[in-house]
Amino acid sequence: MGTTVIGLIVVAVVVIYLVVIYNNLVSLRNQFKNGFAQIDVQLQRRHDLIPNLVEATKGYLKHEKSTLTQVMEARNNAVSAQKDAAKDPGDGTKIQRLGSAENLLTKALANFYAVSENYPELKANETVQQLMEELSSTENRVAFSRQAYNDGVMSYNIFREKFPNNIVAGLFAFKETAQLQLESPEARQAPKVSF
Amino acid sequence: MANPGFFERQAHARRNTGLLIFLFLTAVALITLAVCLVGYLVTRSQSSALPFHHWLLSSHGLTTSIAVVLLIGIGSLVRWVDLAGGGSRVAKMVGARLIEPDTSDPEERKLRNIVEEMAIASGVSVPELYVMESETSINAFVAGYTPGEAVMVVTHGALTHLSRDELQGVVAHEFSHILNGDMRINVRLIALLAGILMLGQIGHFMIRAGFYSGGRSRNRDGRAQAAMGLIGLALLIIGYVGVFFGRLIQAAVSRQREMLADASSVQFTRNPEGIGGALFKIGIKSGYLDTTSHASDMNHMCFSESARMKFSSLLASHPPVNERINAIQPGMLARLRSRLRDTEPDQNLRQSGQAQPAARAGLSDLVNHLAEPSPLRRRGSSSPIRSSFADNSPIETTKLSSRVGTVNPQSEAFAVHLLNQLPATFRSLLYTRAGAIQLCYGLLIYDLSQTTQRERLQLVGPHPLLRVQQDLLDKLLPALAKLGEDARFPVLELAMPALRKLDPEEREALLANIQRLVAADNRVSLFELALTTFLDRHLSADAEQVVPVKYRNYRQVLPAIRRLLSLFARAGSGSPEGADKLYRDAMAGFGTGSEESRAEKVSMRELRETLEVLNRLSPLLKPAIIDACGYCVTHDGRVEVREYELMRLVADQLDCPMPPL
Repeated sequence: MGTTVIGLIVVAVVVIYLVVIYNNLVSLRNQFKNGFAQIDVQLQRRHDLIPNLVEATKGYLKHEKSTLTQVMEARNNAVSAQKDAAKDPGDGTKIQRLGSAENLLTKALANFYAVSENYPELKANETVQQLMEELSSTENRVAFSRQAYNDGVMSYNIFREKFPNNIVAGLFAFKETAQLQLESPEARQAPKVSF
Repeated sequence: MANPGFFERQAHARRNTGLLIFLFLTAVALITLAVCLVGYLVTRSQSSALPFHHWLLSSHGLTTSIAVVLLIGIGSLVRWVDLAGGGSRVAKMVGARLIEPDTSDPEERKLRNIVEEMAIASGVSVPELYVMESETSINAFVAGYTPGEAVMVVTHGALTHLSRDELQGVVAHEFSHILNGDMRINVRLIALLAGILMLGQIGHFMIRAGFYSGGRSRNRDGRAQAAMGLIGLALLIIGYVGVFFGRLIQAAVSRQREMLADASSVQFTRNPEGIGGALFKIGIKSGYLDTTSHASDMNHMCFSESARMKFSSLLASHPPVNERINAIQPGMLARLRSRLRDTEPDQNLRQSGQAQPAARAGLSDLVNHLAEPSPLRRRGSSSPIRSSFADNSPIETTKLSSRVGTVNPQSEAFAVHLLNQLPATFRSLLYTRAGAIQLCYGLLIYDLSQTTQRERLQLVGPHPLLRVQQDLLDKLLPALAKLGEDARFPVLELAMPALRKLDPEEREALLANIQRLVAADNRVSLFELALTTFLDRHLSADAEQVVPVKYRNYRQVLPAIRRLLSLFARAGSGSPEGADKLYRDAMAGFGTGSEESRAEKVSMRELRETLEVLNRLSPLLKPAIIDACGYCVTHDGRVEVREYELMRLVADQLDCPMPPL
């Protein structure tokens, strides 16, 4: 009688332990999935800000039409790439295309900042200053959301691969997930405004 | 997002809670015992001589103990309930102002953006933001019970003095507190400490009551009064002891967590320089919340120490700033210090070493300088030296010639001020040959755009010593830009001893290089003229030889005088008519006057020849020339930098050392 009770208790403890592991796996997986959605949100924000910036600086940069058109083209390209990737997030090539489109946009923006250095009245304009701050904040947010996603993926993978957890993971088909390597490390920094 | 070690850190935080409770109960027990002891001593004479432990268990002892525990309990409970409203109650406690989410103030907007970025990076929702407007020091804290309804409070000083990256480092540090569950413990701790502190406040009250009532009525029993006063005093002392224990509790619980939060900040921002820079600035400026009344209550929650305390090394709830910087990244402290030496005027550094309250204004300027990277300033903008010129409102009308060769207190003060304004590395560079050479190049190009600078520097040929050394130039150019045009000549003169160490060949080559740089834009500005003449004078082959006196009266050198005064008259007045009049006035001193006509232009070569000729005048005749030039320059009561440089050049060429005007 005593041994049965002890046996039952042991079994109960083990079951509870496994349940806890399962729940942790679920919560970690959902966290990184949420991280992925965040990236999308921030990219969207970036795309929305750029037309405002171009509009506000058009008056000052009359002689720099090529730079402005370059920025707008890169932005439109990135928007279409994003819409494409949103339809089918699992597709690796689409994510790649999105990555390179965003890269191009970053380069165009860097060029834009370099050109605007020659126009001090431009930088003194308050609206432009605000927009620049918002844009630089958005660059940071895109970077941080990618970083958060990657951190989430890393925690999930580590937890998933540790010893007793991997059994549960195998049982319930928790797959390994890859981190996002969209852009090169230098592109992680917000385009620097001063040279 | 959850980091690896997230669960360990939660466990760590829970252990801290246990420790906290244990320490708190111990403190309460000790305080109760202490109060009982006081009660025992006071009442001992009345009752029979009971030993202490018996007295404790008697009705007196028990009443006292219960009373003390109740008091502490009520004090804590009151504050607990007060703060149960959530983090915003703490924010109200310190008098902070809410920042609206759609604020339009640029600094608040910047803070809001930074906080939202960090929320993304850490996976925590965005807290409500408050700012402590009357605080100019740098500090911040978070409060609240759950991450969902957290509150972040930042001082106004942090908004103005920290760069974007540094502010982000501080915000990330606070977010890690939210993430690791530190907030709840912190807020509870404020409540617990409030109870202990209340004892001291009651004691204070009793003392005052004892004194006042004694003065008013005679009917009270004198001894009861004294007893009350004594008890009050005792409670006060116990209260202080309680505060001591409270601080110990704060310190024990929070020091380790602060290092952990620093590390998490680096993990979130991937940028150790941000939080490192913020800590460095706090080390200079301090984070003391001088205008907040509950600063010491919240000491453990803030980013850095918020209240000055005795025994600070023991009771500090944060590790020392230098230790924190070293923990973030070894070597960063040295880097930050060297950067400070490279850019800041010497006197500000020396002041910060003493950290006196009187020098506080200088310190905040210092920190402000650190906050914004100073852009390359255009010629003629504000410079620290300019004030010494502007201040001389009534120009002394005594003859300039009488000041040749003299030193007066004002000149000395000016010199000292100038030397103090130079960054330490800048000055030491001037004393080396390489640095002095680069300075000469730098003086000619410092106010040009970067691309033009590079073009000009290409004109300087390769040579082991005389070639362009970009690393030295990079240290000199920003300082030159900041010091402005007033400091150009003084700085050049400082470099002369080093330049004189060059051998004749090198000197020639240097002069040739300078000539090339000057000729690059096909225009010779007044400064370039002055510079080349100055260098020629002191570095040419016959610089050290004595000039024989050739002319003994003005008639022989009249053409030269005419040319010189034409130049000065033009420089000293704004219009051609004014210049004419000035010229005639000046020439009047040399026996000619009304029939003179001013020469329109004087070329560089002509000027040089003029000065060479005039240098051969007999010494007794030179003063008049200097006075005439001085008259042109000072007749309108103001000395522009251009005029000053010209004057200085002439005086130098004529071998008449002249103090600053």
